[in-house]
Parts: sequence; C-alpha cells; structure tokens
Amino acid sequence: MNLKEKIAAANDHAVNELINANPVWVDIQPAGKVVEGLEPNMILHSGPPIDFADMVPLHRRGMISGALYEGLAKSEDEAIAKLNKGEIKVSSALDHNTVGAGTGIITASVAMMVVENKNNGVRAATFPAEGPFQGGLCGWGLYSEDIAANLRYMRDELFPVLRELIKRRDGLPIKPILAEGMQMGDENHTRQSAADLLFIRQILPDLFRMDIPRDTMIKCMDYIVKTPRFFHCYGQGASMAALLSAKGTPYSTMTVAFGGNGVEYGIKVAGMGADEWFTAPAMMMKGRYTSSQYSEKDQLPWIGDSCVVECAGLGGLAAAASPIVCNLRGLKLKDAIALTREMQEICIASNPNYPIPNLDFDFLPCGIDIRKVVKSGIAPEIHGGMFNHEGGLIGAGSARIPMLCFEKAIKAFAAKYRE
Amino acid sequence: MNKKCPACNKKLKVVNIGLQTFADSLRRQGVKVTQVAWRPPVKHDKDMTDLLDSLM
Repeated sequence: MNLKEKIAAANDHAVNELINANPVWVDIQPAGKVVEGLEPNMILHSGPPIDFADMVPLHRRGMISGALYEGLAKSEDEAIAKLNKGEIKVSSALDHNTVGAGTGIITASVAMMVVENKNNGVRAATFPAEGPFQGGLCGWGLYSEDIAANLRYMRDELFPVLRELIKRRDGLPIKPILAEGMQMGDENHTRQSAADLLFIRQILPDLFRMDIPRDTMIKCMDYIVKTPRFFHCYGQGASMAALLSAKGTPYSTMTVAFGGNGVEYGIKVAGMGADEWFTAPAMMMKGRYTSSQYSEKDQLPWIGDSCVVECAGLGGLAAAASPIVCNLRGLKLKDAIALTREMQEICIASNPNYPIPNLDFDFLPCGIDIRKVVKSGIAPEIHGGMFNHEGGLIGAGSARIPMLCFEKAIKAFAAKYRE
Repeated sequence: MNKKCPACNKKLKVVNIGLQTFADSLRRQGVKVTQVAWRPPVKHDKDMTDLLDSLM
C-alpha cells in the first residue's frame, strides 16, 4: 500500500472504533483507582500540559482547591509553595483516561463515573456534577468547607448506593440514551435535557427496588433528579472511551482529543504520539451572555475538555439535532442544519447510530480528519459554556478550534510518515 | 408572489452562490431564490499544497 492507501485504511479503522463503540456505565470508583497514572500527590487539569506558574488564575485557584481538598496542603500558602516546587505534581487530564471538564480539577479521592467500551474493555472515568454546587471543585475549581463536605457526602453516602445499583443491573448502556436524546432535541454538549430524563427513567425504578432506608433513597433520587445536566459526565465518558479505543492507530489522521487550559487550546491525532499535543493560543467564544453587563473582555479564553464530545461526533457536530441550543445564540434551524452539513465536509464518515430528524434522518458526521480541516479551511465547531476570569459561568455559545492546531499536526504527521 | 424584473418585465428567478444572507434578503422581498452553498477555495502556500497533495 502507498501512503494514501495506508491513511485511508487507518482512518477507516479509527472511525469505526468511534462508530461501533459500546460504552456502558459500569462502576463508580475514586479517581486514584481508575485514572491511569494518577499519583496520590498529583492534581489533573483541563487542556494541554501547563506549568502551575503559567496557569490562568482560575486554574491556579483550582490547583490550590484540589490540594486543600485532598489534604496535600493545610493552607493556601503551603499549597502554592508545594505546587511551585513540584512537590504537588500537575498533569493534563487528557494525558490520562479521563476528561477535565471546565477546570478539570481531579485528585485521587474524587469519585468518578467509570464508562467501559464493552468491545475492548477500554475504560474512561469522568467526574459527576456536584449536586447543589454544580461545577464545584472539579468543574469550577472552587473550594469551601461546604463543597468539600458535599464531595465526601457524595463519595461516602450516595455513591455506594449507586455503585450497588449499577452492579445489580450489570451496567447501563450509554449509546441508546445519546441516540434517543439527539432525536429529542439534545446535542449532548450544552443540552442534555432529554438524555437526563431518559437516564432517570432507567435508573429510578432500580433505585426504588433497592432494600435501603427511605431517607437514603430520597437523597439519591434528589441528587440525580435535581442536579442540572446530570447526564453530561456520561456523554463525556462514552466519548472518551471511544476515542481512547481509536488512539494510537498508526497512519490515522483522525483527531482523538480536544481541550483548552485558558492559555492554549490543543488537539491530539490518532496516528501521532499518545501525549503529543498540537496547540495554538486559546480562542474566545461567541454566544449569548447571561447578563448585558458581560462582554468579550470578561470572557476567559477557552478552558475545558468537555469538547471531547465534539471529537467523538456530538455537540457542535450535532448542531442540527438541537436547534434549541443554536437558538441560544440567535441562530435558526436552517443555520443549525447548515453547521452540521458543514462539519460533514471535514469528517471521515457518518455515524449510522445517530439519524437526525432535522436532517431528514441523515446521519451525524463522525471522525474529524486533520487533512480535510486544513484543505477546506473549515475548523470544527465546538459548543460550551463561557467562564469569566473569576470562574463564574457568564454565558453559553460556541467557538472554532484554531486552524494553527491542525496545521501543526499535519506538518508533524507528514514528517513522521511521508515516505 | 414572485417579483418581476423591472428591466425585462419577467418574473425573477435568482441563483445565489455563496453568502446565504443575500438569498434570505431576496426571499423576504418575494423573490424565488435557489441557494448554492459555496465558498472560495482556501489558498495554501506551496509547501502546504504539496504536503496535502502527498497525503490525500
């Protein structure tokens, strides 16, 4: 085979890992047990690797919060000193089998939802929303006694029940929920309204059949039902388990990771090194602010890894499935359809698991090809929330991944493989 | 109702290539429009052109 034929075969293999993945929620475990390479004195963050000294204040605060929560330091000053000296290590979440949504602060004792690709046993772990604190420590980098107490409560009281529940039912398949949700108005990044309900429909009957105190049952039910976008962590876990299955496919030009740290945005490619990043300055988002007092000057450049869902063919690539999300930033149904059609131009295949009513049941595009991105000049569209510099959520919208990431990637790919 | 062209007094039928907003504007004025999705091809320097040609 010549080089072009090898790339075609590799991309066919890689995209079929995404399409055929069978992600199932199988367990809840502390990050230290399920996140590969996570050391007891290590804190993970979103986006490409970055030194503590170079982090945006939101990430620096998250690191300090993580150190305090994990007991790696007794005070903020001690945490800063240990982070500066490297006594507390920092590492990119996407260099492990996890996803750093928002700030992506993950420490060894944080409880994680474990999603396994049943085709090959590949596991990804993602942190759940923190009930009334929503982003809390992991997603927003916050720390307080209440947030820490809630995390411990989730880990020690709620999750043993849910863990027993998921063991008894031998796991919960995620893909059918994603598929049906996208026929009901979700794109599974900014919006999981339908998926939340579909998830609850499956979980609550099992919860009510458990032989547990009524008070415990009600607390578990409240946590699941009252936590906004509860299903988001499962969509990310399913995406990551599928992407990890495609990662390391020699000769493939398909992307397998996206994420930003507020300074740089980065991508990874299946045929390149596992920890090889291609980065550019992090981009700003366009969208709608929660208040007219906010403008672009308040916005932090892109931070977070939840865009792994776009890398796996959801979110911005599924805009047509969710005109509701697109309407948040003033777009109409035809614009949402046009966005998904545009994304098809940079993808390797269509995913027959996801037929979309608004596309007259055409399938969603899947598997972003760095060659097609550079050649067409079309950058992937990713959805997300806007953070301000202090870490507050100030809006929702979308961004295009910087073309420079793809140009760097394709040059490195050519240097590695061109004969 | 489809508008008539003032020059030839025939009903206007427009093919718009590229910018969607032009088509939207004409439709709002009652003109029948066929929209063609098109964008100018991206211009790469010679090195990138050669590189892309070698990979796809």
